[in-house]
Amino acid sequence: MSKRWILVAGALFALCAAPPVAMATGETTVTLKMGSAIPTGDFSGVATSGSTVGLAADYKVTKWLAAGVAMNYFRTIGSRNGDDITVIEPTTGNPVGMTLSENWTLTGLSFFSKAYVLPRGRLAPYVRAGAGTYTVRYGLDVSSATATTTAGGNEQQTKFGLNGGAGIAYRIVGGTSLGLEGLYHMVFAQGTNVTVWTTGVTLGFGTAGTGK
Amino acid sequence: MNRKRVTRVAALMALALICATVAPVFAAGSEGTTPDLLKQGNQWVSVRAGYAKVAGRVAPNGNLGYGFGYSRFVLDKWSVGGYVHHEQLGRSGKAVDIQVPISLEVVRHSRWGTALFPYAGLGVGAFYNKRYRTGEDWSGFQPGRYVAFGARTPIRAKGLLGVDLRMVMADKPDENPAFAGPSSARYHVDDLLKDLQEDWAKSSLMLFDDTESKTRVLWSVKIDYTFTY
Repeated sequence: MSKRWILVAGALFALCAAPPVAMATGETTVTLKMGSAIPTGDFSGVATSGSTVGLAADYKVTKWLAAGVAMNYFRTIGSRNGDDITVIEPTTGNPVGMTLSENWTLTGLSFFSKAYVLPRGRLAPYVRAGAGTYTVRYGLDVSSATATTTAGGNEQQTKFGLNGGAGIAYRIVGGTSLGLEGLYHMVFAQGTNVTVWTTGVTLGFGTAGTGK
Repeated sequence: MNRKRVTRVAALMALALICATVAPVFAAGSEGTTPDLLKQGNQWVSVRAGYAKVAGRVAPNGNLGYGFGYSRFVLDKWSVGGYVHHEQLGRSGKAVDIQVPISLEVVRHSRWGTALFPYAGLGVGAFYNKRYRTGEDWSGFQPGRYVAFGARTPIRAKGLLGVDLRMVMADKPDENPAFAGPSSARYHVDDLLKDLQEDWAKSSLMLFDDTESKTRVLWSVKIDYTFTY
């Protein structure tokens, strides 16, 4: 076994051997999330990797189940971003060379549930699923052009979507926790779905529960 | 402009989320025990009526709205409810812009002082829109989301009177002979998602000077009467 694996195993053992912290019901937790957003499926044909930030609040209904509300914002770069193309300017009929600046954003509001599985000491792994609305926005701008152009604009529509995934939270002290979370988002568009995989670091701030 | 508006709405939603989870300092004294009205298991039925309007520089005058709903306290101070409203958002001559939100919401209630019960919540739903007597009538469902604020006070046994304020964010319908909006001939997101994957799109553009906001914000203020049981 290499030194790296011995170190990882030692760290895991230390985490598992940490004094157990009761997973209390009645806790309210506000969680911040920052990480990366990776388009998948058909959406990966028009967008590249980007970043995500999220804010969620949940309430622990039982020892193993929490329910809450989450807001997420994803920003990814369009697949043609930085490309040099020449198009006919509709107002003059003349060809104009330009460099494209293209992006996609998703703004989601969803209700979700978290089910905690196999909690161990300060570690709380969970699976999560939710549903809500997502606003899909496409933005196009021109970073440079050989002549005046009206190219550019934005277009957006709101859609229903689902999300699901898993994560793990490590309670640092009191109600404060640090963790990792991966979520798969599927937004139902007409003809093709928008699918994004997000992974990120979570920072949770909680209130003390009843400890039942 | 649109980006700023979205940022403002996101900030407002974040504020609502924080308000929903944290009690204000001046109400600290009243948060110690849960009043009977806000106990887990309570059920409320609300009826409400008032004013509804679309925000924006070019928007019809606001009109009447009414609605009803049911809430159940799944936890102390936390309710989940379902609501149906009917909003006449505006008139232009004989043409009418109507919206019927069918929504699900999560609300955090609290008590300030002895008899004021404020609340803040978030909701999502399917919003049925109908424009008729326009010369180019249109109807359909679209998703929407909203923040709701309000306060109630008991006026009789098992009866609360209050005010409900809600701000809805939904897609703006395309232009219509009676009502302004983005051009219906433009590329929509559904079209862009498909066509941008085609080879010909690598050297083509679909958007030219297409910067009009595609979102509209709807406001409503209503007097609310709630039966508790």
